[in-house]
Amino acid sequence: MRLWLLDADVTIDFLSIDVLDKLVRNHKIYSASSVINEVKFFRKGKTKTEIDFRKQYVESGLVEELSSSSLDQLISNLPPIFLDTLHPGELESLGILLEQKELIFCCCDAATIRALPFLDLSERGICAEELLKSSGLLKPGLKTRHTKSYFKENLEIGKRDKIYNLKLK
Amino acid sequence: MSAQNLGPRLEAIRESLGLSVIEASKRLGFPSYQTLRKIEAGEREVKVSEIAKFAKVYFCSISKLLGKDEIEPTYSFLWRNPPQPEPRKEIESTLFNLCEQYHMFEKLLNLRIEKGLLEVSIDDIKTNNSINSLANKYKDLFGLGNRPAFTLEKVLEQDYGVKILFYPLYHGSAACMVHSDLGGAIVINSNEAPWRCNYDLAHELFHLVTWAAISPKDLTDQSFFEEIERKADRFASMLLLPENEGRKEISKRIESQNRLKLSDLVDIAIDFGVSAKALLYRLAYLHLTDWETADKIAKDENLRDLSKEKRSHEWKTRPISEHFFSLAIRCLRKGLISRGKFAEIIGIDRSEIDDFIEDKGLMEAEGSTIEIMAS
Repeated sequence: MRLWLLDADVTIDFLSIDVLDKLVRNHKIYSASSVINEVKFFRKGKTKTEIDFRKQYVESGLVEELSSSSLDQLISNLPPIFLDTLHPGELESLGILLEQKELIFCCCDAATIRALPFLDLSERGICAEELLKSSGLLKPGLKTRHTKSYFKENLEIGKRDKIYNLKLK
Repeated sequence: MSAQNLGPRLEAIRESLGLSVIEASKRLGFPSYQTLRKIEAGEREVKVSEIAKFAKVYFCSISKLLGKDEIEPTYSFLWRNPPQPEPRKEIESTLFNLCEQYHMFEKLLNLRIEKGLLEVSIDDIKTNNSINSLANKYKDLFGLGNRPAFTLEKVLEQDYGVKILFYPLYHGSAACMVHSDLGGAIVINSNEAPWRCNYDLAHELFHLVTWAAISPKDLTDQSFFEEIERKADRFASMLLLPENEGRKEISKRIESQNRLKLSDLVDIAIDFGVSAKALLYRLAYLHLTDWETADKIAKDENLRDLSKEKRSHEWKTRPISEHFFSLAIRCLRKGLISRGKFAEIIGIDRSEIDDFIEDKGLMEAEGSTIEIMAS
């Protein structure tokens, strides 16, 4: 069984398309402390629904909370601009990935995906489409940001930025 | 950065904001102030999730918290009706942080502003006539057209790189700043009426263009400050209500009905995007009426009620920092900032990002590339 670490947008979008409950039943799901605090609402069609994610998923043991103290490792490996362009939840998830080698990070955010190569974590990221496919939960109509091609494209940009030191300029 | 180095830096930043350990601990959500004491003494490590809270409570970016740059503020805002000393530091830190984010977007998008504002010396604003000339010069330089109030904001932001922020302030407040790295910034009170915002923008522009000649330090003398404020008002009036256009509109109405009514005044004010009061004083400047009459009508309750009734639709949408938002969306679309960061800066919930972008008539995806031929 793979151990998945979900970012906030993936969590919110999985709640919106009704797959999170099925996912947590079949897999071990983790979330960064800052991400848990970020999941407050999700949308179903035009309806905005409030959710107490901590109570419903973390305190009930469906999702395990993790936090990171890898500040030094993040600072020494990530170009400083990432500290201002990524959200603390995304930074914390990257810090957790550095500490917990068995986790796979499911993310749909272009800027965060591009940060993975800088931390040598390219192989530890996955898009929502692949995660759902491997869990037998794939549904039609996923947003572009959840597709394999979107993930791959941004990972390539991150690799290129790293090689040419583009983010250091 | 080690706990031993980060602790004292966090302590210095807290002190520069005038926050006590107890107050800061409360805002950071620590169960006791001892936790913060230990962090500041370098005896406890800071978690990644905590550094984010520090950035929020101390109104600065994470890179600044962890960096090596000066902690003491390198900026000074010039205020009209400033906040009380206690919240002032926090408000200024928040505003400066917003300017830094604005600057970050410009840098990420590689936006280079090549045009600079004219250098203005103290001699250029000595007399009323020289201020009139200065306002005309700016109207022409900016290409503001016949209704400058409706184009000034966009021209300043897009062509001259002035950062314009709408932020809730006290009634009658506005501020500006010139910073060596970030350039010029103007802060407008988002609680004001739209026409008042236009006027404040022109007023604050005067302070920006005269910044090199009259710095905030020079304006600590109250009587000098009041004199400069009067000049800034005059400049704003001249800039937003061009003489020829103003006269033309008045003449048109007098020719058709032989007299000017209160409703005409309100109509013309709407047409120029200014208040009826500002229009009346401008008429006095143009010697189309005397000051006493202008002042009397400006204070007339009938005029106020009529204006309120006729302009109620203008209040429907609160002014927002459009250009700031548009730069943020462009950065998100290009994958230069994360969705979480975008939501944090704009001040919306993450689940609202898609709708927010759609409401602005924009999209998150970049779309395919279009080839443009160089002529």
